Amino acid sequence: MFMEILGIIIILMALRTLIAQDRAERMLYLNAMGFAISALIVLYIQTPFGAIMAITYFIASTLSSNAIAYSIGRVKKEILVK
Amino acid sequence: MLEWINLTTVSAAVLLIGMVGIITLPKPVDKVIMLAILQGGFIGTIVAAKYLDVAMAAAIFDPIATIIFLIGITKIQDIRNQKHEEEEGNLA
Repeated sequence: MFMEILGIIIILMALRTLIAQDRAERMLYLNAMGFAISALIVLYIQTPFGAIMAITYFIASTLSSNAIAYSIGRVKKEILVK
Repeated sequence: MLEWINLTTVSAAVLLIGMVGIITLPKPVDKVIMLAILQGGFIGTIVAAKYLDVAMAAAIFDPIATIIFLIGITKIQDIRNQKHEEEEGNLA
């Protein structure tokens, strides 16, 4: 039951990240999706190494989101791909 | 009814959503955000095939790739602004 709920949360958050207009909103949904993916990993692999893998992915996705959030306000006029 | 929702299908859906986002969104930082989503789907796909060591290596190296992309975006922005100011100075 938990895996279905988490899967629905992940797909919903990914779609909302794609659709959202504001960039700060996009970061919020990205974080929620990362937490749900690490929970789904630790429910799918029910061994200690699965727990270590989920912890690693949790830390890595938080670091990546933090790096993106730090550079959001720094880029002013962006170069668009035509 | 909901048995088809497991790690494999969810990761594949997340990969496809990230791919569509990278292709359609025009701004570079949005592209990097969608790349972070695609990395999540990629790691989920590797874990669904139970290659946990490969998944751990991918999870460790993904933030490094994101940080290198962000450094490139901000640096090319600075260089282009600097060149623009120099050209304006020459004209004046």
